[in-house]
Amino acid sequence: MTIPGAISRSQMQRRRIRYAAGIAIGGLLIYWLANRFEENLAPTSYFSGYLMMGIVSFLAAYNARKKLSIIPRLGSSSQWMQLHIYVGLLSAVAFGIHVSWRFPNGVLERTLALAFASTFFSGVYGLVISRAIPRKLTMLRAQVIYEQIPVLKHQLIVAANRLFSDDRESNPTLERFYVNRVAAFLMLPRSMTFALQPSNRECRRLVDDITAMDRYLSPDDRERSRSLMQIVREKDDLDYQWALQSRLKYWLFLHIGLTYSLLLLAVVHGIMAQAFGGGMR
Amino acid sequence: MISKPKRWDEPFDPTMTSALVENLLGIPPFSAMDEASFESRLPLRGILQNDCRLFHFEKGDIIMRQGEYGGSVFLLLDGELTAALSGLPQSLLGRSETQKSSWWKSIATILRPGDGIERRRLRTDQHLGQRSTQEATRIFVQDVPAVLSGCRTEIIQSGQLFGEVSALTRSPRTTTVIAASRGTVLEMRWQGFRDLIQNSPELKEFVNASYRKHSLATHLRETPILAGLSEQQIESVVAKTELISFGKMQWTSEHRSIAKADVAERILREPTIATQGEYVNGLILVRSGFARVTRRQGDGEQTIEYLGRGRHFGLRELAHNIRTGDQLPWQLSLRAVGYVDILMIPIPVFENSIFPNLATESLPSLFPRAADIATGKSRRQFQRRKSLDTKLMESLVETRLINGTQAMVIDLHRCTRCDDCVRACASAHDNNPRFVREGVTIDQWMFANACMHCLDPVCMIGCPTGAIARDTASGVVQINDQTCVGCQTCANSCPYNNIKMVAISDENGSPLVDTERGLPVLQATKCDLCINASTGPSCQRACPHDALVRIDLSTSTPLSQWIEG
Repeated sequence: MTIPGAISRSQMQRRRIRYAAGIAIGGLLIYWLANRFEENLAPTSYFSGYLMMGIVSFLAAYNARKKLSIIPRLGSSSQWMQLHIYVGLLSAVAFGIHVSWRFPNGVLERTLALAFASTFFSGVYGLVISRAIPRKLTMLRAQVIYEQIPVLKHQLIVAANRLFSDDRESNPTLERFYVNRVAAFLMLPRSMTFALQPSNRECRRLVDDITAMDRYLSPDDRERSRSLMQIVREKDDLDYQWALQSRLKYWLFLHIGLTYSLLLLAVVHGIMAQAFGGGMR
Repeated sequence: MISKPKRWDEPFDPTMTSALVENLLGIPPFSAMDEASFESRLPLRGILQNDCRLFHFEKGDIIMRQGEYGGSVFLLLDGELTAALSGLPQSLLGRSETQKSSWWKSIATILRPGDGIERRRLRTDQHLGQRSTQEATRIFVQDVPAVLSGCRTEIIQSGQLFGEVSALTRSPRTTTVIAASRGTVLEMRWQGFRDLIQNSPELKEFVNASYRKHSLATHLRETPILAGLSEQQIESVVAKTELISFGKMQWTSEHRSIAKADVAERILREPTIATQGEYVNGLILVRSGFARVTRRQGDGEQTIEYLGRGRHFGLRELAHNIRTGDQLPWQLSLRAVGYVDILMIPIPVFENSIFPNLATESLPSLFPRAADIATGKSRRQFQRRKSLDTKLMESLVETRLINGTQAMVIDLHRCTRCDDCVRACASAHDNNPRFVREGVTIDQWMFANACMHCLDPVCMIGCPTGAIARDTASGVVQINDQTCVGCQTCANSCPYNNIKMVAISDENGSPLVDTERGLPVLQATKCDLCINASTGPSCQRACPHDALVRIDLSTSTPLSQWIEG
């Protein structure tokens, strides 16, 4: 590759192997060090606690790095992303060692453990959807910018209204169908179920019903029904885009929110441990 | 019915009268031309009336700038001009000096993010002045002797032609021309000048000699396969090489309408430079523009590759024929995409001067023989290199994205639509992003609407102040805020709509208003590839998923390497 900063698929593969190997070695090292502490009767929990604090701080720093895009010598965002993923996976090992692979029993400790688990699993979920959703979005006819979706939806409503508001004499069957069934589909937001599990079932049903009406329509109205069908399909595509892109955006808010609460709880936990545990020897 | 060239629908100078044309016909080189030798469709008087304009200059006016891409040729009618061959500062040419931001300045930019207002600190170079004439805004040099002291200069006398090589080959001007006195110059559209050449053997000879003297040797020396040649050998190649043009140079106005036609039909409409199956007549070098390499498939043509400036065609056939003694014809066809200038090096010159200097490892493989194909040996021995798939390749050619040297390509299978790229761009430009994450999409590849810093930068033709220019060190096409007068020439010329006009404000955020017209002052903006940031393009660095790259599309190799790995 001759493009500065860009990497090809084979280079990506090699980087993945390199990072995975590094993380595996890191995990083994942490495990070995924890055992050494235990053999020497030193408190393992302080070592693993400080390590966890470092790891979580590093993981949280990625969000700050994103804001510093024009600062030189900080590494590219994709390098940080890769490290974020692998160090995030390593954090599960460090956490297991820190809690001795048991669910803790104090209220603060349990809350902290739950905060870590939810941050960790929200991260894993994010990793999965950031790999799966882009492909689904790419398969759609048009690529749209999230912020433009409301405008595009409005344009479809205007186009649909125009189909029935011109001077042509329209068949009441098609017009009634538009008012009773299609208008609501175009104007109202989709359900929460659709947001969580988007499907084109409703669109298919509408399209089938429009097609079934053909026998009652004149050739002129049939042309109008085809245009309406197209509008319905485009609206469904926009809803699908909205549902998937919302998931990609709001997942990040959740993950960042959980990270901040985890950091806060970890600091409180650290202070308590230092105050009442005698400190690191 | 008489069909006149479409360019005459909009004459270069609507005020050009028959009386002025009559006057021009009385002076050389037009006086020596035979009006009868011109086609009735393209009469000499018609060319002078529609493709020429007169402009009167004052002492100090800048007529042409080094580095700008010109589309016209000049003839000095009266007065005196000075050509500055070297040594002029960038600021005098209307360009900004590039300064990389320090680490601390970058931090300060982040701590004090802009408010989205396009602020400008407008200062004019102390050596320059600006005046508006009826025709255009003119930039002039205040103190010509002081500015030119220390520069290598040449005097242009009345009756002398200049700017012909860069206009005809669409290459950057090599000199800056400044008026040494008051006078008049005749500016000719390159198309009109080309038609004049066709009908005037003396003028053709003059331009040919000028091209060979000033440009050809340099171009050949820069061509990789001729790198091993001695000065003497280069001279022998220069003497025999023929420059041939194909297609229309004004491709930008037509390519959108043509793109709607059927691909197969479009390919067949392109002028053919070399035809598959016909006799090989020499090595073809692409001088400027683009050519499409095609292979016959049934009744149609399949795009195999596209070639830009500096690439060659026919080396494999020529090398094969010399090494084996065969007489293979062209194995593929070569067609002009829009407009292309080629250099044809005849077979004897190739055989005697170029082939003996080629290293064995740089020679292309032999074509498989019929016997090898029958035994299947050819498939094992002659594997084709990785290439882009036909649909992507043809779409790149049709949309002329192949013109981009720093195109923004997004892999939509990896892109999570997070817009970190847009945010990074905004933070590098006072909260004003210089691109939109949308554009031509071919399969999973999006070619976003960001300036591609084109190989053939049509946006740079016609800028009255030289504000849009290519940075010589980095190749980045930049707009200088200090000299942009908001005429929109560049924005209207960009075939990809990648230059936007924005209303600007002063340093305090107060909108600037043109007092004469009462309208907001506009300036052109576009991606500058974060030339002032030491990080390189922020968009690419900000992508968390390696989905976005800035890539050279003028050759297919970088894109195929990125895609195929």
